[in-house]
Amino acid sequence: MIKLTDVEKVYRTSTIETMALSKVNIVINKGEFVSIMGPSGCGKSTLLNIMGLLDEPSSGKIEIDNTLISGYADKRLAHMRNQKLGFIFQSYHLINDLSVVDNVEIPLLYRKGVSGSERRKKALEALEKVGLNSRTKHYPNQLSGGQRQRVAIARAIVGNPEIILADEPTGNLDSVMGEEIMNIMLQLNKTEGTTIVMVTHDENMANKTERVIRFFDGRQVN
Amino acid sequence: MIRHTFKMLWRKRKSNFLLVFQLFISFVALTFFIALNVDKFLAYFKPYYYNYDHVWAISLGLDKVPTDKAQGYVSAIEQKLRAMPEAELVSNASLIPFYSWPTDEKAVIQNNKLSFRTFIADEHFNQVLELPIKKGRWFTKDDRLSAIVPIIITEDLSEEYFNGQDPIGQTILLSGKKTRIVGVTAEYRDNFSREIGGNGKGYIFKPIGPDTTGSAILVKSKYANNFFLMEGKIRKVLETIKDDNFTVRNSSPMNMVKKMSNKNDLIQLTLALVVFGFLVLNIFLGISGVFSYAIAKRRSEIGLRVATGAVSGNILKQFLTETIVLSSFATIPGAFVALQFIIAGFFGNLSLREGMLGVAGAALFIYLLMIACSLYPSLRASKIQPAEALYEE
Repeated sequence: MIKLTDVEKVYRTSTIETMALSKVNIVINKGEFVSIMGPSGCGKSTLLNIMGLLDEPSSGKIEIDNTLISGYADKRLAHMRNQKLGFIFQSYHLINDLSVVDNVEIPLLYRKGVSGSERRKKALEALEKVGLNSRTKHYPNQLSGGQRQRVAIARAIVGNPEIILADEPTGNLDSVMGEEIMNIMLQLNKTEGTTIVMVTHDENMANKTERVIRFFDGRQVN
Repeated sequence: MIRHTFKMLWRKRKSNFLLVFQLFISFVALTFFIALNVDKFLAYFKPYYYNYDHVWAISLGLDKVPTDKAQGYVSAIEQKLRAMPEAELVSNASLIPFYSWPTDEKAVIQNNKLSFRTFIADEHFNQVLELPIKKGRWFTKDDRLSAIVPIIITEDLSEEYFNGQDPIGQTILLSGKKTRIVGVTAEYRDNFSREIGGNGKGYIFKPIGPDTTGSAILVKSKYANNFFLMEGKIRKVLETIKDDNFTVRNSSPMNMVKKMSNKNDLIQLTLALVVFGFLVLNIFLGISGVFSYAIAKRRSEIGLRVATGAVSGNILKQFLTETIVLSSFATIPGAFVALQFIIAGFFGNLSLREGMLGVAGAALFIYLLMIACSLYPSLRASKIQPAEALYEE
């Protein structure tokens, strides 16, 4: 599903060169739930951004769904992100001026041929999956942290992506809410067969996934 | 996408209130300004219906001269000018095109209480300027002593206030006095800076009365290109008036008068444009700053939109659409309010057509300005790297 071969990422300024990722080789199979662990600054989020086609590697190859991602124009990458990927972030990234259901609709705004009524139907279905169908007209600032993250999950799954990339999805939540979110993701992985790559600091959460990839100083250590 | 943008902006209406209110006030003021001046702007592209090519214009300073003396001086000058072999016709009036400002007089026409631009002119004036008579007649010598003052109106005035009726013979109150329309001329128009005063459309000509005299004398030359020859002769005629209170303000061919007038218009217009441009630049910088700040606060939203499939074109379109929707929050109620004022007759004779042109012009200006203000911040927003924007706090 996702294959990284010799991926490196180097951040350069006029005086300093920082190796964020060094010779990373990872294969994530279809339907797998993988967690990525490591201390702060070890390159986990950089790796997730590269997998999510939000950032380019300095060298190496990325394949998604057996398609080599190389020299793609912005439009093609955006299309792939829209069709194949869903993102969940630690800080939710919900738009406070849009209602819950309007937030969930966002990925479908950038998908051609989806009518307004179809968008609404899919968004309501996604909200039902995360148990938030009673809060569709609320605004993000009227929700708890756990509810906001559930909205973010609904937004990630509304377009039926094959892969979900979650960057510390439980990082801002207490243990009970964190459990709730984790259960929703496990459920998605199990029932829908969605491939999930999750960056986390929490050993307990990571242990619930099928595989843990550990990083230290930009290097894969297992 | 429009619905999505509309919802976002409606939710932010309180924080956008001041900007929208500023746009609303600007839009309404601009609508009135354009509506009140649109005819003057459009008139500039109309032809002159009179001919000034072979006319020499003299403007006399008679303010300090008693009326009876002034009449004597004018009459003497006219006689001497008529005696010149080069002079075909001589006219006395209060009007020199491109030079004189009209008088504002209140009139009641068909129940419309308005003020009109008026001139006084003698019986030769229309022939000197070859101003066509469309209906009725021009003044005769007898009109000077008529009990009911005869007046002549321009065609645009007739069309505007008589709704297809024949205005000839109709009486109107002009400065509280009963007057009767005896003729209709082609439209009269002047240079832009002289198209001032009067909220009524068109002009009214009045005859020279027994106690009045015009300070302008127009001489129509028989032959083309003989102005140099005439200049010396006219100077000699004017020099015959020996009175310290009598002055000659202008004595030159009409072509020259028009050139000077154009130059003055250009200077005034340039100054106005510089001031206007400076104001617009200030507004542009102010609003651009507001947009830049607002967009900078939405970096994570931009990052999210890119992560979910937006390309830079979508981001640019998103912000430009927001600008248009935000401007519409001001222009739509603004158009409604402005047109209500115009329909209610708050601006006298402004027609709905002028109001609509005002709305269209003001809307065009506001939308172009707002798009120009938001273009650079929106372009910058479309270039934001999502990987950076999503991880900023």
